[in-house]
Amino acid sequence: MTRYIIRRLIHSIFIIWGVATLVFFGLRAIPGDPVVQFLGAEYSPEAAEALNKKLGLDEPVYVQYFKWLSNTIQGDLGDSIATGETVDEAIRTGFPKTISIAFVAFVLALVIAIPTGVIAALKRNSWIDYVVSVIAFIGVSMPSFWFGIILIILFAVRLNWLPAVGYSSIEDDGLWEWFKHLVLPALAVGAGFSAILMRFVRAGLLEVLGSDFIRTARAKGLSERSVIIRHALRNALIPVVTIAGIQLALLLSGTVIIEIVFSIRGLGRILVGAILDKDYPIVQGVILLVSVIFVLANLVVDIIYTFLDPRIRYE
Amino acid sequence: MEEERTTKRLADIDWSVLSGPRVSRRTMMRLAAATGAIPLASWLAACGGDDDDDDDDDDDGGTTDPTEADSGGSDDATAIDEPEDDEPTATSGQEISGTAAEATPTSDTEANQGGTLTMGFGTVTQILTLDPAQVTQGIVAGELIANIFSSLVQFDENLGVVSDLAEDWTVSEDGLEYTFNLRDGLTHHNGDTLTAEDFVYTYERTTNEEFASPHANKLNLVTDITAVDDLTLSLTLSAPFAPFLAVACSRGPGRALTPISRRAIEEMGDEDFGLSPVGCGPFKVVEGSREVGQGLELEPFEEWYGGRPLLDRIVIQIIPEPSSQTSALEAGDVDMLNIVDETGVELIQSNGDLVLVQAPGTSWSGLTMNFTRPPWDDVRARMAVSKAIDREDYVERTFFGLATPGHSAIAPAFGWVYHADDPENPQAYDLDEAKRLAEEVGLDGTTAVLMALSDNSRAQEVIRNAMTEIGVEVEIQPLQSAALNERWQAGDFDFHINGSVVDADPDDGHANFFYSDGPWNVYGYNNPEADELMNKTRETNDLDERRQAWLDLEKVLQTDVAYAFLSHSIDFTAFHQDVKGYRNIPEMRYMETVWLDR
Amino acid sequence: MATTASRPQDVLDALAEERRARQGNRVWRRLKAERKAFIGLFFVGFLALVGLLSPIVAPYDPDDDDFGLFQSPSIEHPMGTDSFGRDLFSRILIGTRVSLTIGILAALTALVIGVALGLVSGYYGGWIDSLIMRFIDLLWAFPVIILTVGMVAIFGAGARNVVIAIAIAYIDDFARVVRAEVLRLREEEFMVAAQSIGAADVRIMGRHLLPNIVAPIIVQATFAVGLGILAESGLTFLGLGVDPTTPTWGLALNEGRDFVRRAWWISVFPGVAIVFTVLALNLFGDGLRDALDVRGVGDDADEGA
Repeated sequence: MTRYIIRRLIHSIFIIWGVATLVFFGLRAIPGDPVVQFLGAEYSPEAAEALNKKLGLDEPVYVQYFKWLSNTIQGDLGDSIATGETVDEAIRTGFPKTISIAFVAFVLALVIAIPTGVIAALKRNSWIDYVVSVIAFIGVSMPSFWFGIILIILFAVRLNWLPAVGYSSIEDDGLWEWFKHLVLPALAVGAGFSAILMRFVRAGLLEVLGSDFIRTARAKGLSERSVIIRHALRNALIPVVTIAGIQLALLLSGTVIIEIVFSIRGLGRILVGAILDKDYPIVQGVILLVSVIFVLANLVVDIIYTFLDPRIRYE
Repeated sequence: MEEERTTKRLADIDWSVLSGPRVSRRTMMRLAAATGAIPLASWLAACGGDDDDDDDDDDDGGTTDPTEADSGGSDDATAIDEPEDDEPTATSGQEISGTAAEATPTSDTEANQGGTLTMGFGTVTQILTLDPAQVTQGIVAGELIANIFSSLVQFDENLGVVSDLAEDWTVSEDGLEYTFNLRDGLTHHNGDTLTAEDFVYTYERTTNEEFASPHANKLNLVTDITAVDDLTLSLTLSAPFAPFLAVACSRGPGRALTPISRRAIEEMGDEDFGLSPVGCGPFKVVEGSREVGQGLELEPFEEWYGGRPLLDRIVIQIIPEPSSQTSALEAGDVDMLNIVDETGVELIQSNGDLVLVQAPGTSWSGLTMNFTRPPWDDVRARMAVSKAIDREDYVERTFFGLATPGHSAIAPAFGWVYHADDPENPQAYDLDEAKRLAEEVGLDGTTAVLMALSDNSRAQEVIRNAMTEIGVEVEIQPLQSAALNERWQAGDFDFHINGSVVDADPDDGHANFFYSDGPWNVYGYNNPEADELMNKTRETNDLDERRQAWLDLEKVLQTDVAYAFLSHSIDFTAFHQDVKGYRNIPEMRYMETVWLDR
Repeated sequence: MATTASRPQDVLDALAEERRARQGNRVWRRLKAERKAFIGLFFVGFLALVGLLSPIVAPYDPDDDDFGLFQSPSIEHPMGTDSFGRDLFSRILIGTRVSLTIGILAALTALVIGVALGLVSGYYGGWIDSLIMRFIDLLWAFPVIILTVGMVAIFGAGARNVVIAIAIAYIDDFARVVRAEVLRLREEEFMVAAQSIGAADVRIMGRHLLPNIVAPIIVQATFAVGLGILAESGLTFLGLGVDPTTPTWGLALNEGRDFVRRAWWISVFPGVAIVFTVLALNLFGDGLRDALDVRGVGDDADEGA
């Protein structure tokens, strides 16, 4: 097991390095001079040259690459070309927001998916099952920005229950405000996710309900309720956990569009804006972080999986 | 060349009329008329009050000015519920708050102190910098930085230049010597005394080549800047330059000489200063509140010379998505929007809790056709394109009617020369004539690449549809701004839609685009007659002659189809009923007089 | 053909043929039993028909903008007019063709590249496998939306580049599925047999491996078409999608997003079209997956937008 983890870790480092390198050179393939973005349309070539020099962008690309690599290894991710804020700062302010959205989305998805999945499984092929399935499918099929806009109009403008835009940190305004600001974006991001979870709960439960040990439990005269909750559901949730783990990483990318709709400057919005502005240091730094999270999340999921399901062993 | 032009003009104007603690509307008017340069002046005409006997300004026989027609009183000159000729009529029936009359805190005893105002900040996805000398986002300069920094002078509701940090100033008769008398006891936000020396430092900083300030060119004519004593600043220009006060010294747009604290720069460095600057205006940035792309918070600067601003706090929240801006205002997440997108105007109008305010735009927008690429080198081809565009329809479809149809580069805000109707406009919509010309040149089947940003895609689509009428197929090529700017500079495009942005000066919008060597003239327009007329607008001292020069120039540009002129934007802002004391200065959001009626 | 078979090669081919036929029959039987797949197939077929016939069926020229802005649905304009004054119904009909084409082209491109990579990777193993899979890992480590944004930023917006960007983002899904299948099949009798008679690698991959992994590929492709349509609307939201002259549903939805309250129909109809189509494709893919007994495909169906 330890050997497996070490091997996976080394493997992960290579993937992250590869991603970082690809991003570094890929960014430079985007047409347009990054300093022009900053200087505006009326820029003078002299000003552009001066700024390029100041930022070290006049050096050969490979020199820039090795400089960046060595700085990054030393923990210095550089400063934004556009705004001068450090990449650390961008990550420090953006990361909590994105994680908060993903986390609340995840929790809401579980809260929605488990009961509906259980009901759908127990009432298999009834109209409830179909209705739940169709709603789940619609959840997956809906463009998230549109869903987000509709949520805002419904719950913020019409009903005035929840705020329309923005983020509120726990330290500043407390847990409740934080949560209130996150409900709508989390719903918009998590709709598709909860639909997928729901399907897994349903499928998992159906499989378990047909298995021997449930029959045994029933034969022992346990109440149906306790059979389902104590035995069936617990086992059905094992694959759900793994899917959830993988999907949590995917939620991070789902927030890109939602962060724009809800005016929350999380990592996704920072990243997309920086790609369009050719803000090299920001893109490089944020992608580095995202790929680390992505790769590690998958590693953790694989490891957790071995604990949950003893049948799986990694050589 | 530039030098020559500027020295030639205005030789015999008495420039000392520009001295002040307040440059009156009439003076501004005359001077503007004389130089064609000061944007404010036009405003004065546009807002023309009855107290001014500006007989020589208004009798421009035959032309009518919609802004002027319905904006008689200065107290509600630009309220939305004023009927306008071409512009949409608001029907909210709201009393406009925040008009000039009740705005000034001194005159309004009922104004409450305190409270937090949240302002939804649109049109930018992030604030690049708050350093006045570096900011290129015009909206950020006029609507945000103007609250953090005071400058030598500022604007009043009629866009007259009034005293700010300078209590008064004199301009020599030849227009070359400016002497500013600063107020006593001014301080920067860090507590340091603000003296004439700070302006000298600011001048050096802005013009430092390594610093690469995009506004350094506004100080090109300055040959000397001296702190005579702590409270006296003297400036020498190499040539008279009428818009100097507005362009280089004003609160908001006058970014080049907005005073910077030397100690702050030395302690923080340029980058940190840009993130969270030490200003000298009515509000200061709350420490640690600036989050790039999310916003920042402002708190009152108690030592501001004008007294403590009324609000306890302003929260600036960036909202990039237009539909979310309106939703946030309606849901009460924000109290005010700095700018209302055209798509939100109707919703806000129909909401009784909200107040919508508008001001005529100071810019123009048009379709450029690359003169260096056949068939667009042929004026008949360009004219065919221009005559195939119904401007009313264009404005209706692109902006839902919430813009002014355009026929020239003179914006409605410049009312002393702007005229809404132009019966002799050679570019006027005439499809038959357009088709005839198109056939003559053989445009049928031509493809034109329209270089485009994704954020004016409505305009692109309308133009493309209009072009199908004359057989021109427009291929829209979406680009990101950095790439687009480079290709623009390289002149690598067939069509492009752009124009001037928040003009501080009509001269800017023309000189940049239409002088044969203008910095924005990348599309190959070259007409000595236009150059000549532009010089004339700067040189002549006779009012009628000058206005005539502008109108002649307008005609030349129209006839040459230098651009197919399309529209002028309208400046919209909106807030909740309980936001009071707003001063409606176009493209500015000075917030020190604003208070909350709660 | 099987009767005249004399060379071992032909025998194997004939066996492969027969296996396929058997499998095909079984699939058809199970598909009929699987109601979801059947409904999905019906809807997908319906959409394809609409797409094909749209130029004939559409009551107006989709670019004709002379009908007045923001007209609510009526007899003349069943879905109203959009913010430019065009007949929304005609634009949705044409959009069926354009959006499906974008989705299908993106899915096909991803399929061809992904399947080729997966086949080669799984079949040869060794360093080739390592090399290809590291590349696939790289693609996979990028969130889809970031990858497509990056691609469009590099190549520029517009329909063609949107297709390429979406395709690249989904290559890894195909490659993984195919490789896993190939690894499973590699040890099977017929493979061993084919290799032992010295059949060429390309022939083995093409005639023996590929037909046996068609099922998961089709399932994956079905999901990919839907994801492509969603991804296009997401990219268009970010201002990176098709140019405003390509009437996709994503464009229509985006053009309507500022008017959700003023003119609900402008965003609701394209939105419903997208949801309906992705729904049909997902239903079909889901049913197909059950019918074909494919596992582990299309689990991250929400990655699109």
